[in-house]
Amino acid sequence: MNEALTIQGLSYRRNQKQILKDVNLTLPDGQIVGLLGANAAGKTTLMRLIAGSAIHFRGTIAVAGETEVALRKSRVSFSTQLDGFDANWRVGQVADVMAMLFADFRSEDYIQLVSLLGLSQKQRIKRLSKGNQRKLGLAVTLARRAQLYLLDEPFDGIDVMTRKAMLNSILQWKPETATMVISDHHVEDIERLLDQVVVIKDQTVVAQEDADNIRAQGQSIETYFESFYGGETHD
Amino acid sequence: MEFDDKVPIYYQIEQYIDREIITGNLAPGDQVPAVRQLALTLTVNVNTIQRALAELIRQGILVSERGKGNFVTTDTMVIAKMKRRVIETELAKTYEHLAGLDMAPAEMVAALEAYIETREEGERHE
Amino acid sequence: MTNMGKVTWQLVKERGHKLLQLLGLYLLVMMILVVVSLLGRLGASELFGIGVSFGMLTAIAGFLSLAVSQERVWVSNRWRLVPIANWKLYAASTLANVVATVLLWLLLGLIILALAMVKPVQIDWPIEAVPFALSFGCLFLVMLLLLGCLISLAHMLSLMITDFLPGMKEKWLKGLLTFGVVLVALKLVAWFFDGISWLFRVMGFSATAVDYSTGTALTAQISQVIIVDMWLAIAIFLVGSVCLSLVNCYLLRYWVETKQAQQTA
Repeated sequence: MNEALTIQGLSYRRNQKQILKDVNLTLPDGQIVGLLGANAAGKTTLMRLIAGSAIHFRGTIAVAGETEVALRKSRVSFSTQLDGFDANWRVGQVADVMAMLFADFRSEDYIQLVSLLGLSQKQRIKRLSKGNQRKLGLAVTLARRAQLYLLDEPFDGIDVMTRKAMLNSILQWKPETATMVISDHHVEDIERLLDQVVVIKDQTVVAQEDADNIRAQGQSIETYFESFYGGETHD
Repeated sequence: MEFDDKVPIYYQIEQYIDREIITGNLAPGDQVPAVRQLALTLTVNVNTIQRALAELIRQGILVSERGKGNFVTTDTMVIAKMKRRVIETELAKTYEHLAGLDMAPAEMVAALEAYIETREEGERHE
Repeated sequence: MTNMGKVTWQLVKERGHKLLQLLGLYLLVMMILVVVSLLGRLGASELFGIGVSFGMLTAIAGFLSLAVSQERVWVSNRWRLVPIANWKLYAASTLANVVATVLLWLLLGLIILALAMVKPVQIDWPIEAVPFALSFGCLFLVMLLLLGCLISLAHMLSLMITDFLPGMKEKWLKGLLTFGVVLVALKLVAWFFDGISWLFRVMGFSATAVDYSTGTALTAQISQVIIVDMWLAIAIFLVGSVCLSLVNCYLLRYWVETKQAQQTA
């Protein structure tokens, strides 16, 4: 069985600031992993490095055994890939463009996802509410058949009903053998979906645990996460 | 379905299925919904469902048939044993709660009988 | 892995769409002027003159639009996350710009030609001028290509430097940096042209061959010599573009990252 993700000795500096230092992380196939950390802890940066948006790093990153950056990109579906789309385009047009640029994009899946999430093919991106834009981003991300999905704070600023619809989409559309990493600093949003929890603090990975093992000790994931911050509250 | 976030979810799913069997929603020999279907219905990770089902199969409460799916066992002894276990868990909880209120076992039994009587009377009057 | 042809095609479609809008505007203005001219308010040669100058304006606007599109590609996740080698992305974008430019010029040329037919105008076009015009067109195209590579280089260098230095929150500091990079780039261009002149002098061409002003009376002999010189210059510019592109591809692969969303890290 291939590991979905193997990171060794990853360090990353930007603007003369150390953002990540000596990160080691291995994730198996077929799991939903929560990437937890306070605001600006480095969660987004880690995802950008894995996906190939950020490049100047030290160490190794391998997705499904591939370290070369273009091959990694073909195995990873990152939720920011909607960034840069012409806001005049319609929801339906997005599918045509994605199919042209990504060999693993499934238009039929996209159409089903879009309707599941309550969006219409004819709407223009610029006319969508923020919540609907996020839903569209999720549909685009999940419609690709990748081995590693990276969702960066997908529920940020989303109302309860939309979140339910998004959770259902994730459950329904994630391929069995694919691994999904979801970052969030509001743990309750994703708690019950998680197989594993990875905590980022002080520029590195401080913990990696099976979610139900944490609960078996009588803690909720939220409490577990907060224990790393010694009771300080982070929003 | 609401979950207690301090208890392993696979365990809560086992309990959920146990209850479905006890209440008769899942009769002996019935097919259990597919893993993916259960995951969607309960809004839970597929792996968690599989873990729960694996445990129930190990306990003999569910039987797996290759290519067909998972079925509730037809062995009534196994089901009866499970029912006893579930009831005992509930009783244990109630016992702990009442003991926490400083009640002696004899008091508990008397209080429960009185409560049941009052309740049945109330139902007769409706 | 995505096919480079598909990326190029998508880029051509998107950029072509923008250029068509510019072209539409030009066509509209020209049609209005044709009507004015047919009403007798505007002479044929004046119409033609305006048509050509507006055409050049449209071509410049087109170049700017294409340059902006190209620079956006380096920093947007939408393009950088496509599973394709960075150098292929660069090649696709550059090729798309070249194709779009040629198409734009052809269409502009057709419109101007139509203009000349609607209101016939007197121009002496000796037959020798055709290969001359074509060569000049290629030369201009390659010059723009070089300019585009330079713009990308300046942009990528400034990105690399701002990513490296501590959080440059002051806008003026960023502006200063861009100004500095542009100065360096212009100096590079000046050196480049000095290099060409030196090369020509060494190879025995006269200074007038380097200065490509078009005389109205071109004899076949002179025009042939000048055409050869032009193609030499085209070759040199191409080499320059390739060299710059190699540097750009290196920067793209190892240094240029995409823009981050508003939140930090």
